[in-house]
Amino acid sequence: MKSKQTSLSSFFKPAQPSFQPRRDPPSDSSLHDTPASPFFVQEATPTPTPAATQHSKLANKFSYAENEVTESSSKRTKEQEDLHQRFVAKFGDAAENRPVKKFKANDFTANGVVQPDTPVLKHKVKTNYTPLEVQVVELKEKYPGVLLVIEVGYKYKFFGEDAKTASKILNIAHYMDHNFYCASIPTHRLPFHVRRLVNAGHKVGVVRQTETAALKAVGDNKQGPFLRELRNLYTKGTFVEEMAAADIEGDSGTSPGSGSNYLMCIVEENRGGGGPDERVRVGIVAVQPATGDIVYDSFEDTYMRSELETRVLHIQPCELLLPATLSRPTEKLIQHIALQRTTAFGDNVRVERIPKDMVFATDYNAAFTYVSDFYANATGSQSSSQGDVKSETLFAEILRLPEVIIKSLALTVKYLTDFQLDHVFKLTKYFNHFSSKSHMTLNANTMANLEIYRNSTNYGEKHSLFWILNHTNTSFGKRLLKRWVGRPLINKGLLEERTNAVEELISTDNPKVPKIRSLLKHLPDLEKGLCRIHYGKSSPSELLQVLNALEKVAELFHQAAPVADIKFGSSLLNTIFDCLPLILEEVITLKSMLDVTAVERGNDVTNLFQSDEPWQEISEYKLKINDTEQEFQEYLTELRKILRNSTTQYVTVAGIEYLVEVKNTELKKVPQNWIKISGTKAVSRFHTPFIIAKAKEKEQYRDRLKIASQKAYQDYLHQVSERYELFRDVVQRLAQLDCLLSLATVAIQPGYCKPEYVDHLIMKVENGRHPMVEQLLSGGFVPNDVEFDSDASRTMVLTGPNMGGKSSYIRQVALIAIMGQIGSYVPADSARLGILDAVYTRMGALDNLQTGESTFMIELHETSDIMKQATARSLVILDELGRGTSTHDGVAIAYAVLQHFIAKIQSITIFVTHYPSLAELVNEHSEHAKNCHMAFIENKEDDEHSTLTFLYKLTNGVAMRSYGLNVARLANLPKSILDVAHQKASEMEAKHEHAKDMQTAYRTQRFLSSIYGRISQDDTVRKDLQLLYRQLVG
Amino acid sequence: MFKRDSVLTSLHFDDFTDKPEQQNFVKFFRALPEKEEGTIYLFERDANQRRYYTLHGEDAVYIAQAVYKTTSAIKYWGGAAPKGLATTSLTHSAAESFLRDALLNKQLRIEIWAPKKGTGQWSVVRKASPGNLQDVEDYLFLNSNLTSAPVVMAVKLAATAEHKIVGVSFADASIREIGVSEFVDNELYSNFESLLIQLGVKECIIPLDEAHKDYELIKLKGVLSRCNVVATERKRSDFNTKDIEQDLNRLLDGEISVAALPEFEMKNAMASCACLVKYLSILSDETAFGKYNLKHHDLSQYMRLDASALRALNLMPSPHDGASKTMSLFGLLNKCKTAQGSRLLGQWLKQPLLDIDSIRERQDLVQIFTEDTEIRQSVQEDHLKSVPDMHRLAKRFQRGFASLQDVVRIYQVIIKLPGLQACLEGYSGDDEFKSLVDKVYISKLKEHATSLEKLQEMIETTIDLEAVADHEFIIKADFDEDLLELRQQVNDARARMDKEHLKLADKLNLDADKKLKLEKHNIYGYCFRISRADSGAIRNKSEFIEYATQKAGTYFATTNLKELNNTWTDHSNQYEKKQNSLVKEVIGIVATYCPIMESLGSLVAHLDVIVSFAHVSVMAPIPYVRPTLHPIVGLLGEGNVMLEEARHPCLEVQDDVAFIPNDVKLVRDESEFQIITGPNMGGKSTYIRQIGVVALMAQIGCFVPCSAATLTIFDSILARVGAGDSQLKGVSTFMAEMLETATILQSATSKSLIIIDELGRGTSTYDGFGLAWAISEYIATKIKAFCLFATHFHELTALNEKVPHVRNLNVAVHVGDTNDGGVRDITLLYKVNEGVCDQSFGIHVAELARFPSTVVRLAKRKADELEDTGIAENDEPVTKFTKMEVNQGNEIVQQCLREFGSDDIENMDEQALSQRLETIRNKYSQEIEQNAYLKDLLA
Repeated sequence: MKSKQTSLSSFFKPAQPSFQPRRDPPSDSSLHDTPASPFFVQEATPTPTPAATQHSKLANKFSYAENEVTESSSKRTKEQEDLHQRFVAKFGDAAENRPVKKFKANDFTANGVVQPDTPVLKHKVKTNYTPLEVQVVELKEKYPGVLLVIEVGYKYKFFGEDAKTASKILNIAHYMDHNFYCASIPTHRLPFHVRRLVNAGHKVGVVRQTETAALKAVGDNKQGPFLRELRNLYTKGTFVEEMAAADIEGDSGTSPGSGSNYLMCIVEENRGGGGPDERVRVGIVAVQPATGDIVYDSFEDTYMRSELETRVLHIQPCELLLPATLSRPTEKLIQHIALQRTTAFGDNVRVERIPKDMVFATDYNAAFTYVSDFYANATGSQSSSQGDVKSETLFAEILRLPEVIIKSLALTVKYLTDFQLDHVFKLTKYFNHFSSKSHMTLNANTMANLEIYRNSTNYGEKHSLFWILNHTNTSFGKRLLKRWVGRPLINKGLLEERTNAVEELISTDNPKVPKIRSLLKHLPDLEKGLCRIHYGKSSPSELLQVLNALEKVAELFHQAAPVADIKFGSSLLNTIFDCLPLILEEVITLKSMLDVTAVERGNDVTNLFQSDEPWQEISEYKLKINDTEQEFQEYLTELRKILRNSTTQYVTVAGIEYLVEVKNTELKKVPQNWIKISGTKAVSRFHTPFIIAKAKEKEQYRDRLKIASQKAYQDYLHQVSERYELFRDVVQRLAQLDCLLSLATVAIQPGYCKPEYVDHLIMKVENGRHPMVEQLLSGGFVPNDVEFDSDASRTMVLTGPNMGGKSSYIRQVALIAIMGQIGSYVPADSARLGILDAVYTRMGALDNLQTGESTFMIELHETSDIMKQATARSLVILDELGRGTSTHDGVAIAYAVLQHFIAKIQSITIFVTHYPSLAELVNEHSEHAKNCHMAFIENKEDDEHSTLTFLYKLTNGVAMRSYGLNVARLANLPKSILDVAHQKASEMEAKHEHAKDMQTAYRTQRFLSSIYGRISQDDTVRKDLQLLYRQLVG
Repeated sequence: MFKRDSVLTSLHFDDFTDKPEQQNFVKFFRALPEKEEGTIYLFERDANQRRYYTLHGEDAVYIAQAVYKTTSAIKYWGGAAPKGLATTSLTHSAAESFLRDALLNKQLRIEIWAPKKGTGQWSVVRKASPGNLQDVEDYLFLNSNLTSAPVVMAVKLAATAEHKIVGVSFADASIREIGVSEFVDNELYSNFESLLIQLGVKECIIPLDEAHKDYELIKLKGVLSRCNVVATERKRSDFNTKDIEQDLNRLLDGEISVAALPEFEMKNAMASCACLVKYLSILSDETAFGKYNLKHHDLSQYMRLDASALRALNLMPSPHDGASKTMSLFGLLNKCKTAQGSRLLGQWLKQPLLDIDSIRERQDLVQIFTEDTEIRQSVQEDHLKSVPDMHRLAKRFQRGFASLQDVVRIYQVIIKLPGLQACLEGYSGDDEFKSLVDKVYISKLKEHATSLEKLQEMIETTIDLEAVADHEFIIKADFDEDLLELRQQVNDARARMDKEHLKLADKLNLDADKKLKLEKHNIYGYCFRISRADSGAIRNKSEFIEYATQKAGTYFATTNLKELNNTWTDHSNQYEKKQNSLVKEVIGIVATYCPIMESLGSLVAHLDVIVSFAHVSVMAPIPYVRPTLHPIVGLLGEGNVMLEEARHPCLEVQDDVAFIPNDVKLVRDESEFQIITGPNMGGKSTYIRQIGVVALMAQIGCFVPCSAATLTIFDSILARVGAGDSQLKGVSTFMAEMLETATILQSATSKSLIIIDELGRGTSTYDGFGLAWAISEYIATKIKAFCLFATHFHELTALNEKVPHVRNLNVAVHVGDTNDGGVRDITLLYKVNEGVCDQSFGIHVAELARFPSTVVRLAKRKADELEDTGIAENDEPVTKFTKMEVNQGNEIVQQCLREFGSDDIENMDEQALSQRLETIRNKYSQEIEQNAYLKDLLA
């Protein structure tokens, strides 16, 4: 050991030879792929202290220096050995097991409940639990799988596993407290944090204290902990957010679902068949509790579950409610949806499984009874006779629904009952059938490929069709527009109504328009607000906001208002504007009951109403409180007497009332039984026994008053909600107006025109453009015409080289058609549109090795589905059908499908292909089909090679070649390869040509033979004749 | 401490209500120059000594969406919604987790701004980007381990007439190492791509190209985006070698001047290095001087992989895998127990070895642990499980963030070493293996154990074991005389207080346990407390000093207690001070052991990965086997690839997959090029991919999923498998396909393995086929690489007539009898056989997809028609005559046919038919006979 003593500071200088940086002992380089970084010493410059000399010893003794290794390995003393053993005991395995054991015993097990089958443990644990913890354990047992947020005083707390989960999601600390992990959040941040937990996919239950301190003190439960009850339950699909929170639109793939938070329940029935032939009947009920929209449907589905997928894509649920078991293909689809974080759903979709013992999914009778009971009660409780009639009819209607829907309806209602949201089903006006015949069908592939709601690059909303069309000002307007975009109209009258309204909005100088524009900008989310009122969840300020907004709307266009008489040409606009003022009276009546200033004072519920008359309890308690106050005043004279001070008054300090303040110099006068509450250097403040008793009494009255007021407020909310449908109509009109204005904004963009709708199915567009791509390529977009006529040319086979603009063109055609049927202006010089009943597309798919389906299979399945669904009024786009299998098979399939569309289905069809042979089929049907290609100029460089210049212009005729080699050359493939490729391609072409010639020759031979009567088998003759005819005359 | 943390989250904007200050800030924020895309600004603030961050404008909206999931988290400063500045805040802990996500997953850049004291201005205090985490490291990894190392690279190109020279420099700042490499690259920068993959680069700095004119840089950016690397542009002047010699001399460890090193000759690499040093501001950290290593990375040291192969072989987890970890090779093999182990595994996967001896050594080690289950389990479960991330710990000591708790963590590792050593020594297998274990692990463990002995002793003598029981980590008092004395003085004061307490309790006649409490108050220090109801007892008595009356009661002291409290406080403070200085010293000493800790960390990582390989190899549904490898000798790799019952390791473990194994024989000059045809969904893709996976696993030293395996060592695995279309990027599928193929052709050698799945789909049949043929021929004859080519062009199988070492394989299909629906039953066997499969069953798939029966019938007829070509035995009739004669003949027949009409052939009765035929003969026989071609046909 070194004896030389150095001071700390000198010791730490890196220059000291013994601390020269050194490398790690040479090691096998294959082992240490990352050589250890060079040695270095902590840079520190502590000032030398008297102790320093001593501790430099420490450093000398223990610092790492290679050459001293042997020296220190001398025998340890027994003392050191003991110490070592004690350290090992502490920090070795035992140390790790200690905390684990402790938590294992007392913590919740994985499913959140203490295992009941370990009685010893339970017993032992029970005795150690605090009363609160006992309550928590009971609650956990009662609500398995629910993340509980429990009100404890001024905080909300999480216990056990919940604390760990919350800690992870909310970034808050969790710590051991008594027997459980704990984490807590302050009361006022509850909604905020609940939102985050819900969004992370949890089912969150809020447990509140059900009694106040003052009332507890006089109640039966004096000794025990506060009574607590689960008051609210939330999941993604059932979270009814504060009105002020805007819907978040996913711009990056990670943000939550696009404002629509539908809860969707899926029930299926097997309809026989196995494997790919399997068929099922599916029933869905989707409900958006925040707005009260309900969508239902039942349908037959095939193996691919494409119908279901289409609906899921349209509805975009954020939570799925599923029976315990589903068929495999459905499970597969669900899994696909649930796992894909970056698909149309933004965040993960939450999946809630219904417990096995819930029979509604399988037992129709049980489900039916449940639903009819539910509605029977609903009608019973309605007071107005008008409501009775309405609900009667609805009731009857609902009970006529197909079995699968009743089943899923029963499941959904039951599920929502836990969340106190089942009211939503009583607002039956907003029951919609998903595929009611009034809308155009857009299949899943179309939605994705045409980028209707989301772009396919990062799945954000930017550069989607919706993004182009959305210029709405209100959240409810935006939601309605979303529905408009996803479900284009097929009624010509309605479409004309919309476009005419848009046209008038652009051109009119009606003063109502600027008025409503500026009004819309400042409206709160009335749709949500009304719903929250309906659920009784609205806060007074929210309520007032809604009423104020409605009043403003009604007033602005009221008969008395100067603008009321100015009418529009468009009857749609007139209907809307006429509807708005209808609610004025109701709103004013309702509002007049409120004391507006009380709301502004900060949700002061006790003084909310102008008159307490309707609610006796309120006035009763107010009176009692007054009485106590009176007594306090009377008692003051007594106090003055005691203190011999005639000016003594009660003071209130730090929220404590009725303090008697005494100067410290006069403390002598204070009786012994007064209790000092607080004080300063100059004064002390006291409560007398009388004051304490009376203050308690007053506190009790105050609490009771609060409870009574709450009840009154709920009554009031109920009154408002009785007019729900009336108000909701107005909001609906406002939403329509917002959408129309939004479309008007689109329409005034340069290059947009008003489409003309015709009964006959044609599509005639001059200089049409792709609405989204046009924006990306500023100015450089080449417009193209579209011309289809169901009686004449209704099929287009599009050929031509890669990168020539085919994809862009076909998308443009579909988008213009869809925009037209949304009622929007379209990006073209002029457009005459027949009404389509659906747009089907089949374009590129990705291989998915994992799911075990080949691209080709998916492609054919989708095509097959389209062939089944498409009608003569559909637009069908098929892109490169048949690639991914052998050439002959591919051509044959493409050929047969094209033939099917031309001759059988007769829809408007665009068929993009690289098989020039399909052109022949077109020639056969020249009346109904045409060949087109995207124009290009070929610049011959030498015999074999040429470069292409693309003109991006649609031209008639077939492009006989695809110029694949041209692309290959752009990609820098070696010339030798290109040469061989060219040669091989020509060879194959020649071979095919030759084969064709041979075939012709052969058939001609047989034909001639039959003319000359040498062969007489008729069948052969017939067949040959047909084939030859097609080949030569075609 | 915890409680305070939880309050932290409640931090609200109410803390910041100073309106003018807000308005000033809004003004300041709006005046900031536009920030680089993908950058987030955080503004550091303090409220009641709690740190939090505010974010503004777009950033606020982003945070509201990404973190809070609700816009109600947004408040507006300086006005209402549209006019005001959107603002949201993050608590310190929320910011930590956000930074982690943003930098490690979302590839965003971060700047943290802090106020300049008293000026109302703000300045950037920390900057971070995915490859440069230095500034925020203490945020990111305080509570978690790092599973991938952030590597940042700078690149400079120099193009001469002949070729392109790429000079790169890269750094993983967390281990203080700078790497350089310079190499010649092809048109498509495939070497550069391989390098990105080998090193796992996260961010790349390239010279700024304002005009977007530099074609080479555009190509380079393409490569970067394909590999998902963030590109950061810097001024060209940053790539200046002027000061690099001086800078490196300062940074590097060692006496020799950099100028003398061979690396210094690589001018482009040095230019990149200069830029990198500047970008990472390495020179600003003086503590780092002399601590860096310069490493030359030789590209050819490891197998090369391209981005496409990375995807095709499912090497690293992708977001599409969802919850299933086993979908990627990394997920499958990662049974590592330590963070450094997982990290090393990721590195090994991207750097498969080429050196046969190194591979064999790894295999030997894996074999040892597969054979000895007990040792394997013991090492995994008992010894590795709780080893912390040693690199991270060492780093904490180096940077001076460490605490005594960290010291204890190191101690916990130290005391485990003998156990681990003993466990490994327990191996009783083959002597050769025994000495290998000894060489690789035991001897080094011993070495480390001895080196750490003194550290262990020091920790044992300094840490207070008793205090640890209360989760307090302090220096033992009797270790130091002064400390001991201070401690005693503190205790003494405390004891006298207790005495005073009892005395007073007696005097006031209040129970010392229940009524009169002696407590430490945060303002008054030690004092007495009695309830308010009892406070009458001390009222108006001068011997008591009354501090305060609160809800909890009245606080007061006696003169004596007050004095004792003062004494106690004084001594306590001194004691604390002494403690802290000792702690600092201890930590300083531990820091000197950093090199050992790091080297121990590497050793543990190595062991962890090897044991993980062994674990996976044994625990697989069918245990893996050790492959035999042939070394690369000369120009051609020696040996063939012979796999028996090969499986795809990831697919075989998926639920609901019954995997069918296949034999593989790739024999040099015999079957080195294989064309696989067969029906869709028949397992072609799986077959070719699994060979790639097996080859890669073999070269990282792992066992392989086969029943027997012999492989050659490949210098690269290159792949071309289905790619997606991207409309916005404007590259068509076919173009992407060609680009990838071109890269493969440029970088493949005879020692490579090429995997091609479906080439030539997006264009016309002729062009597609021509390309497929030409490319196959090129690979088979010019490159002579091992190649697996799955295709639908049956015509391609003719290639083996021209090139003998091309083998045709097909995926077997069992064709059953026609069932009642008229559908042939087809069973896919997923078995690969020799020979050509002349049907691809495309129409059968259409049937499966439930096409309408008319469509299926038509398709079948059409297909028959197309196939029906070879009927005429000789091709004389066509070739004998001139094109003109043939055309004329056809025209005549055409006329006949027109006359004949096609409309009602089907329904015509026989008589009418022959009548019609006769009419035609009469009308046209003359013309027919005059045409030589037709006449010939008639004859």
